Amino acid sequence: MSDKEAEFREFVGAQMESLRGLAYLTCGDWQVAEDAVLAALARLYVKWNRVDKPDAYARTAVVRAAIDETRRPWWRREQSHSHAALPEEVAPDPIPHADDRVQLRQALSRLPVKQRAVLVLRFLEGQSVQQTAAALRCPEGTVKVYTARGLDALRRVLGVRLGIDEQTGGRHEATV
Amino acid sequence: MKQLSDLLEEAARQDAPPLRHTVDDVVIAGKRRTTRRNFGWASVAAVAVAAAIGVPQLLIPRAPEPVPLLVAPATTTSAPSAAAAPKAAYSFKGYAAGRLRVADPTGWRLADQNAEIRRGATTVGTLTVYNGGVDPRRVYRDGTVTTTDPVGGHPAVLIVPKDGEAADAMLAWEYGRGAWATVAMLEPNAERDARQVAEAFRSSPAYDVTIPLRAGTVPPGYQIMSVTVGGGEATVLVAPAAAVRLMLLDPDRRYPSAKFGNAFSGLVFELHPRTTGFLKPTGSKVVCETYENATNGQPCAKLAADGRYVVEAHGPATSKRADAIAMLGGVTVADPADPSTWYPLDKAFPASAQPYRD
Repeated sequence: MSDKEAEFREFVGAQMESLRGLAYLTCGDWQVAEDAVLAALARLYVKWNRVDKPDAYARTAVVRAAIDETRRPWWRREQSHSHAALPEEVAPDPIPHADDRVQLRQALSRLPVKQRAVLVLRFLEGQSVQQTAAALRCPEGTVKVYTARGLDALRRVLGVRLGIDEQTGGRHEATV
Repeated sequence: MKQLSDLLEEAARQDAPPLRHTVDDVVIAGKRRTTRRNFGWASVAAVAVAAAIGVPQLLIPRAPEPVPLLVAPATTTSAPSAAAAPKAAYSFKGYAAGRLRVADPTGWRLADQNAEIRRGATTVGTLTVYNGGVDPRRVYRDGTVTTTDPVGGHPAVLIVPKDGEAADAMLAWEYGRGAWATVAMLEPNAERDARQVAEAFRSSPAYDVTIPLRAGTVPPGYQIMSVTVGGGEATVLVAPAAAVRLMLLDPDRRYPSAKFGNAFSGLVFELHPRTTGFLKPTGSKVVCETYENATNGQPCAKLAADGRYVVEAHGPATSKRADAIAMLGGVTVADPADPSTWYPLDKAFPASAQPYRD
């Protein structure tokens, strides 16, 4: 095994689980998320010698791959059926600590995939508007609109106050 | 009060099922990808088979380097003139290809028609049948085109689009004189499937493109550029007539972005299930939204088909909200789930908007 391959293996071992979480929040399906991670990391393997910041590359590639997975027509059909089954307002969960998490996942699942991706990149990954725009290959204006819309939608679905403080200490924060 | 970032971190971590793949799986997938890049599609199949049965792979010959084909530049005889614009019609029907099935076509554009390839209920690829004169070797001129074995005796090539991976290679073949089609499979190592689909392809007598919506009001000076239906959704792009004219003068029927900008500068009619989309109309109310940096004008939407669907209309970037409301007001929706109720395109849009000239 070459040093490069050992490096790659170490990277994958350390990052695979968190990358899957990133993909999951983007596409809303654990299995699809793992497929997206596998595809993105296989691409990274090919470019391993040429990528300066593998962590940033992997996280962007995973989000893009997760978005691509959701564009497949069969997946979209499945999503539209599952969305139809969701209640307009999310019922309180009997387990209080799981409640926030479940509600957030359901709220995210109601957003278009690119809006989800924007929220995930900005508030989980702490990326700026400019970085998010570059990662998703869309104009900065679109990122701003999606951020505002996504937060607004979360507010509506979660039924709680959701504030945003732009770039606090290098990280973009919103509170619920 | 919790930070959204903390909630997202929890949601991304908690309740996660065990990983199905290991680091080894990732490395193997990466190596396969490298192999595909280095050896080409045909050799990958051989490597996969050899790996499966444990045969040493040292003797597998390296495939020849891709050699760009000489694609004849468009000439006046092959280039369609605006007067020769295609009528909006499909020229093939769904068919079986071994264990795969090609669905009826669900997309029509000035350049081509396309259909999903399915294995059971899963979409595994796309068949694109180019309208007369459009040559995929020229369409993908920035990519890599490599000769491959003929399909049913017809010339065939493998095409990897620019910046694509070898895994993105599609099979293209000239099924009739000057008439090309491509098969793009989503799965890697699927050349055999692609060939099966290609070899079973037959064209049919032309028949109507139908859609589940009818537009009563289309501003003058716009013509249909593309229609996409399927999965309970339908989209009709109606481009400025000047753009359509330029597309028809281009042998590959490309949208003239250089002149009309990268964003689509025409009208959009969309139908989709109520559970998707940005705009959420309720009751009989029309709702509109103003996008920051709008590129498709101001979209307006209303409920349709007993409230199960939403129909949206977008004017061009320069349009006013009243234009979109007027377009939307004229829209009638059939039953999106029942294609027998759909409207032929030439009845669904006014003559002025039809993508061909009589």
